[in-house]
Amino acid sequence: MEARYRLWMRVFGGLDGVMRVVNILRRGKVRYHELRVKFDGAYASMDVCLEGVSDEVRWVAAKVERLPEVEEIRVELPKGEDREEASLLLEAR
Amino acid sequence: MVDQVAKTLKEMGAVDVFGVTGGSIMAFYDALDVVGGFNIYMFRHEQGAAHAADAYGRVKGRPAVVAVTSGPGATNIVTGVANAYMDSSPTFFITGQVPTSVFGRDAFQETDIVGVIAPITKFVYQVRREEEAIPAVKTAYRLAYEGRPGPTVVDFPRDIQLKRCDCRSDGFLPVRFEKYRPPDPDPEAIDEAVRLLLSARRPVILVGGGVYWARAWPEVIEIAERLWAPIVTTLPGKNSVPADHPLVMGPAGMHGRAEGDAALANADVILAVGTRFSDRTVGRFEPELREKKIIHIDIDPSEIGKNVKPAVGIVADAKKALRMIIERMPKVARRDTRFVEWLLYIRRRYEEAMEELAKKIRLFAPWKVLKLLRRIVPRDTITVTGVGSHQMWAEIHWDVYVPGTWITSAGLGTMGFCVPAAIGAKIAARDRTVLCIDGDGSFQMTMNNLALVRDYNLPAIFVIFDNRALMLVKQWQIFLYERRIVATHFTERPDFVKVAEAYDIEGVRPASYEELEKWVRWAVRNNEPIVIDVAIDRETDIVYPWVKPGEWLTNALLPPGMEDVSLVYEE
Ligand SMILES: Cc1ncc(C[n+]2csc(CCOP(=O)(O)OP(=O)(O)O)c2C)c(N)n1
Ligand SMILES: [Mg+2]
Repeated sequence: MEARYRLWMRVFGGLDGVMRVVNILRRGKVRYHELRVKFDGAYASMDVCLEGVSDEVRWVAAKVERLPEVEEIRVELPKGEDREEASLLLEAR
Repeated sequence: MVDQVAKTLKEMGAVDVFGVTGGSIMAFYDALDVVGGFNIYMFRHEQGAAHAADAYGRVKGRPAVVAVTSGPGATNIVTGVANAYMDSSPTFFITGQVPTSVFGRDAFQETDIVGVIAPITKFVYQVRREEEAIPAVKTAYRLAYEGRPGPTVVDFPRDIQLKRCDCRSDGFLPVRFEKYRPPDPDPEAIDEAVRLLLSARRPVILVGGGVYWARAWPEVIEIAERLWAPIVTTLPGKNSVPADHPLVMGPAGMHGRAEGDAALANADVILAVGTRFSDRTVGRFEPELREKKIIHIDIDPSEIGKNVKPAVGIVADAKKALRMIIERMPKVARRDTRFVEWLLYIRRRYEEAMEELAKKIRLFAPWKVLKLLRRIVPRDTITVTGVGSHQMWAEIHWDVYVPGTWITSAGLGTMGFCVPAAIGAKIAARDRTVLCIDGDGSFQMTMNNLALVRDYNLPAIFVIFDNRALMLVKQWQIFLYERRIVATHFTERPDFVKVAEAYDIEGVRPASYEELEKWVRWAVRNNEPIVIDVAIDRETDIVYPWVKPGEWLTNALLPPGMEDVSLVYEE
């Protein structure tokens, strides 16, 4: 079943780090609705809204998490949905 | 600045440097000389340096340093980096870059190598300020081997290389190395895995390259013996278990062994360890694989569920997870020997069929050449391959006795890998015999690096399976393109014996198996390099078994003489 998810990351390495994340996003079999990046000194926080089946979203999240540049990552379902299930996306590995 | 970088590398023990120098990296090479204690290997092409480093990293477990200039020097390593990425090989690259002042101006030999290489590296970092240089080098070097290994790159602009800097920083870039340390195995998942294994009728263990990195072959074998479960491998997984163990059925997949394909295809529970479940190993994912219960153990959480959905997924160090499984399993779990006996029957039938086939073949039969070589070279010989039919023959017929001695380009399938990789392996292990099993097409892609054999005294044995064809592609043309042979037949050029002589290496073209044996013995005994041009008939060089793309393992095309053998098990 498809659903919308929100991916949030804190990324090191300026635009190069952001590019490395985007390189992985590009290869996910999901649809993107929004991508926001805010730079804050050495780090960027990236906020991505995407839609797809949970296995594909898990693939994207797990691949991104492996990047050394990614210091922190969270996956959330949009408000009102089951937040626990979303965190399982990263844990059920 | 570069002097401090060189000192840092030396402190870390990274003193073997491979590459080609140039305007944007000569300051670094100069520093290696000033600081001293480095072994610099002048490759004849940067791709060669990269493949050599790939093999070196696999043998040593720690990376060599590949240093190349900006622009063409940097773009020439791309294939090597991609290869190391696909096969998770610990490799570390330093690329020179144009000065920061001319960034983005299409300066002479400027290439945005970070942009080019970003999707095929474990880590890449461009140094923009001098105080970042040492942390970047230390971080990238360590990341190359921490957790699942992979290639890392530091891009180093020329002006920063030349800056004076007292900023001796001992730190790292802000990277959380802990995340590459695998978590302890989840005990509940382990219990579930044990339950599945004990209730299985035909459990099979599928071993990938990760088992070698985790040094987990004793555990794999112990579980196999308790369950009397056949062990099958992936192509890189050949490196992970000794082929002469009675339960090792060899590789499964597109060019797996018949008994390996049969084992995997007829399993009801698969314990898969350190593998990414490549399409090359399983033929296809649906529907057959879906019906099996899969226990998947991997150090990399992003591998679990990527290609197949396991019944149990365990992110852990393979050795630890397998140990826990053993502890929770009865000493003699369950031994139904019929399945393994059936697999060994298939093996016997296959070997007999190939023996018959060899009698009908003009010139050399590739599998007989491999068996002959295996008899002669020491058990711990490091064997490297090119890419093509000869590699597939080696996948099927080359027995790897000692884990860690099989080096092949599995994920990327890079023709040209063998010659430089053999050189890199020899640099990493000068006391060992190194054998390169190459194709005539693959050999021609990187044979220029043969120059290093005499330059640095790196005697390796290069055997060219010379069918004057891009045979693996030709095989597809025969079976999938109605025999239309397009752009796969070579002419008689070049003469490989003369090529060998040009590099001051013995070059021979044996006329018989006896002569071949004589030359290999000569090379091994005298620790001499040799290029052996083995003539193979391109009209008959068809690799069996073969699972055509998109087919399931039991539909493998078997050699003539096996028409009555089915790979579907009937109880
Ligand atoms: C760099 C590269 N180019 C093209 C291919 C596609 N390809 C795969 S196998 C093969 C033939 C290899 O020929 P050779 O090395 O002579 O080995 P053979 O199959 O004849 O044993 C080709 C062209 C490849 N794998 N790598
Ligand atoms: Mg060939």
